[in-house]
Amino acid sequence: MTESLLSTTNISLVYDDGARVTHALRDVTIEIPNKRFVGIMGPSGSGKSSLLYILSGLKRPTGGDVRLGDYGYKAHSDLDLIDLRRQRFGFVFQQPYLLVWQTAMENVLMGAPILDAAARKKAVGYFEQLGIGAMAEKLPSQLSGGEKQRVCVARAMMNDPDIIFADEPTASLDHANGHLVVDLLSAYRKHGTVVVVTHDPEMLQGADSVLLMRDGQSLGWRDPVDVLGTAGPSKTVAL
Amino acid sequence: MPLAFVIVLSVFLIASVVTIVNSIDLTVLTIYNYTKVFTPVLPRLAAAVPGEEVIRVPANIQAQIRKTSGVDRTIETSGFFFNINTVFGPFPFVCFGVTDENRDYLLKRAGDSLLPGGRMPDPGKPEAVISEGLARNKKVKIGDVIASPLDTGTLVAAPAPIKLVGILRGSTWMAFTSKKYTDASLPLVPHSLLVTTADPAAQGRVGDQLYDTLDKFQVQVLSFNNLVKTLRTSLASMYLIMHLVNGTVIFVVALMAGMLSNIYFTQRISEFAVLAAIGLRRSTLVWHAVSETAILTTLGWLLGVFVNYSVLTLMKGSVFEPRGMLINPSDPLSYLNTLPIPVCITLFAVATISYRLANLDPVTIIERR
Repeated sequence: MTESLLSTTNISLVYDDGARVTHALRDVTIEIPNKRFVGIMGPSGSGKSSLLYILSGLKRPTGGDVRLGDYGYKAHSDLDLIDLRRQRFGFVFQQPYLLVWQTAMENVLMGAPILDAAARKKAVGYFEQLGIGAMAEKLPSQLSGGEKQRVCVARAMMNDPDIIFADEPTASLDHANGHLVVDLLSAYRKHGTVVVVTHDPEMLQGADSVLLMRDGQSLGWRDPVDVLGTAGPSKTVAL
Repeated sequence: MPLAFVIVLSVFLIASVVTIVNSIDLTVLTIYNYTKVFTPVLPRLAAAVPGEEVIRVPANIQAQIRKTSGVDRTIETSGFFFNINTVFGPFPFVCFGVTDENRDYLLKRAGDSLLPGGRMPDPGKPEAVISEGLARNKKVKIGDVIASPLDTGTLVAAPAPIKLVGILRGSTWMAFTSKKYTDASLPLVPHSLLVTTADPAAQGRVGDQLYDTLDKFQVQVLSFNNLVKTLRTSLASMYLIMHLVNGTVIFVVALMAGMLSNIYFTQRISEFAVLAAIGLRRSTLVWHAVSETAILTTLGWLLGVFVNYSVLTLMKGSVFEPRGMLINPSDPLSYLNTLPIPVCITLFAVATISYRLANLDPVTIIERR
């Protein structure tokens, strides 16, 4: 891989509750290039979600460091990392959490760095492209699970992030909606990098590469074809 | 939605309890409201003049009253009492015997008028007119007997069964018969004075002034402010209980509503945690919680006020007034007492969100699948 955007150096994550020491991550050193759709896969407890939280600044490693370009996480405060997440990252989680009393549009606008007419126009564009144009003024309670997750994807894109982190974004969705959400994320690679953690290999069919994890260790990058046993990109949506 | 419902019920509970408990005070104010129209001055036994059968307000005191600045008329009267229903049981209410001219003058001051279908009492006959509030209270209509010599508990019972011939429209409770009747049938009853002021707005002030300046051994002055003060003093324990009930209900309900909002926002902490994860600062999230709570509590409060007003208005005529409980569904004080509800809920919401976010690792929420 070239043109590294995000990199880790010997990161480790150790939980010590006094009675037991657990190594969630061990000396993971990886590089993630710009404008790629990459997956992180592994069995349950392999450390893939922990890696994503550390890459996105949601969690501090107990050893090693993460760098976004020249920006080393270790040298910055928690508040700095909050700003980093808001300004340069987008997030899609397993559960489509939205503020229940705000409309879908208002929820999406929460991801905008500045609330102005341009942000609203941009949000309207995303709603149309994500196929939920008619849902913009509805409350989350009026949306299906798939529609909510697409609202979350739109929210994640509002700040034009360098990287979108998606943690099991399809786990709570049915097959069709799961594919739709992954296709939307996959299409974002034209603008930035997408890092998807999933246990479902089928969702990474269109990935550029897949990082395999086991027992908190990186097994290295693999071609999706080798990992998944199937070829060809999934359908993409132009963004 | 459940929180909004809790707010509606809380506002309804507090406002209705305060309104009903305040029925005692409202009864007192209503019964003595006529002393805002005129100030009765009653002679005491010490004012009796040897050789004269009737006790009157002494001449020197009458002169002192007439010299008092602002006084318009001093109307000599006597009367009998009849019982009305109150929250604290049967209570005597006075029916004054006055001339037709003075009666019309007093009614004009009070802004009262005769309702269609009735008439004023004929001079010398055992007849009376009473205000519509009194008629509702006693559940009487034109033609009914409103007072009888057999009435017990009154100060001076009616000399004969008194027939209701007219009902007065107006908020001030008053009852009148003819002076010719009371003079003829109650010759030994002390004669009082009803003192009025030229400016009706000055009645309270002049009443207080008469109370302060007239010889208390010879006359008793029923000024509105002093009557209310005296009655409130004599019912001090009841008022204390009333305020304790109000205070306890407000405190408990407001606290419970606040704690329910704590549970509500605790259940929704995942939404806020995820927003914190994507980079929203704590202050922004607290602001969102405050604005959400403000909208919710405002709507809930308005709905609660509407529900309370509607229910109490419906029950006022059918349930409360026939039992002598006077209530005011639009009493601003009762709604003022509900303000701790939105305040408590907002404070608890802000405290909950602030505390939870300060002590919460968003990842623990995101990982909770």
